[in-house]
Amino acid sequence: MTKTKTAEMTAAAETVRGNIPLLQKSGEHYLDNAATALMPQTVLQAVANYNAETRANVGRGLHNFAEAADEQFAQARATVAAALSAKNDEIVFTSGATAGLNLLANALGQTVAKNGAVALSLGEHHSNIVPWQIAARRGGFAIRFFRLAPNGAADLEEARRIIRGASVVAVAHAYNVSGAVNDISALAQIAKENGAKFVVDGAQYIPHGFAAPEKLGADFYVFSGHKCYAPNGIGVLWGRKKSLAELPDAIGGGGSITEVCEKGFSAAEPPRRLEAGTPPISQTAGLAAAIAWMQNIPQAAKENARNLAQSAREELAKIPGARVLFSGGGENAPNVPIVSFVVEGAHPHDCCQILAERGVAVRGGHHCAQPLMRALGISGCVRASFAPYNNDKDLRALVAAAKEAAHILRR
Amino acid sequence: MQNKTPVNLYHEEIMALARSGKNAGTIADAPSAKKTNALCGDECVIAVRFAAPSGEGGEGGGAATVRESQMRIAEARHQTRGCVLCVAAAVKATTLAMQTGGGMPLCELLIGFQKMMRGEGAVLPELAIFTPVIPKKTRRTCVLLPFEALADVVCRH
Repeated sequence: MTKTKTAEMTAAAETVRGNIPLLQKSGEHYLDNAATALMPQTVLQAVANYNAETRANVGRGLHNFAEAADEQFAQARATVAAALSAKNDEIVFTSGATAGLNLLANALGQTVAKNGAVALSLGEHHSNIVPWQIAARRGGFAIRFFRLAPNGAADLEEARRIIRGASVVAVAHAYNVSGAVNDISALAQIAKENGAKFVVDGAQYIPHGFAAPEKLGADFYVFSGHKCYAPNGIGVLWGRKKSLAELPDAIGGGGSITEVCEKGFSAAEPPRRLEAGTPPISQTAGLAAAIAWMQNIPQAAKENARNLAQSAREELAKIPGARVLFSGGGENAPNVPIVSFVVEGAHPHDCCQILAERGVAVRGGHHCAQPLMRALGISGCVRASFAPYNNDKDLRALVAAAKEAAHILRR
Repeated sequence: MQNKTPVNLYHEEIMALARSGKNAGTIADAPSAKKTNALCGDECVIAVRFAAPSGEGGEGGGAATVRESQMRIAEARHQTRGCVLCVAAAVKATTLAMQTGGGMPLCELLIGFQKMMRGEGAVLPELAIFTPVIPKKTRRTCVLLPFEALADVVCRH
């Protein structure tokens, strides 16, 4: 890489960093972005503006505040839809990816035959496993898992075998431990050949690039706001209009109906049918602002984050006793900037604690991916996840602290 | 070391305890209790062998009428899959179980330790090595896990 290119990337990252108030106040090396990304000033301001200037509920009131809230809410939906190359009425606001997946498991679970199956990959987050297990317990169907390839992405050959006969396939777009990006189009094709509904968990992918779920072949796609610079408590469930309309009832309440009488109810059209109760309105303002902010992140800053992750992989692997999980990167194995590693003989929480004491914020444990941990033969690992506001100082602090942790903890 | 309150979480005594392998293992047919830390999946099993108090547990001497909680702890072992803090705490818990012999002294110690770790009670001299953990709320569970397993097995039997 040329010096000019490096300088361009560094400058871009510093510009993005300047947008994050928390990083101006603190010297923390924040590398826990895959858990929660930090909020830029524009997002903080958007949330504050909604609460200060409109605040009202949506879809109900006739007064001025309510009309302003309705306008803001509709605009947020349109912003999300445009980012996903989707239509407005295909966007359902939820409280997060987990809520979206629960909703889908509750609804789609009703369509799976007793001797049927749902196919998942072994790399899934618990939020894309447990809701299906709950639905399976109720419906009496099976859950089948396909393994990951050494690069950390789904093994497509095994996926083809496991998906055969399944009614639903649910898979992450990018994994929260390996960081590998799945070939969603290929998996969608396999699901389609089997007549299965195809659900994609985009929680770890969307922070690094907007997907066009329809083009990818998904039937449903979910993601969380808090991982893409938006507030907590907001998420998105995208579904093809027909797929959303065909979902069996799984949630109900105010706003989700056209009429209720003692004998029953008539459901509203999606998306409101799936947004029972008061939605997370201020969070949608934050999400729309976050999306607008993300659309302006310079490409060089995104590249910088990927390069930092790759350098972290290389530098961490040199530490005696440290082992980087998954091969990462490469043209044939695209990755989001996530690096997971273990220090042999050391518990991930002890590593994280030592890193935290040195101002490096990373995540340790099973990362809500216990089936994957079991497949890897470990109880947990340490994960560093990069964002476009991270810089070389963050990388150097990570590597130095990891060296110290390995020195202190190796038994 | 004993008289000084440590400040570093991974101080020498904690590391030495965790590395010691002391009291690790199982006891055949002994009462045991298992605790799991939901945050990280760490597990600790504490097993305890009770011996009847002298004069009450002899041959034909009505051992069956003696409550085990009133009996002396003859042996305590732990099987721990956990972090440094959890393993060190398991060593300490099993050691103290044998040193106190169980009964009220152990119960008081366990209650006192819970309070100490919540930052509500006095620092117990025999458990002062865990003082640096008190401000780290998330890590308190790591230390308390073996003590809770010990409390379970002692109270249940």
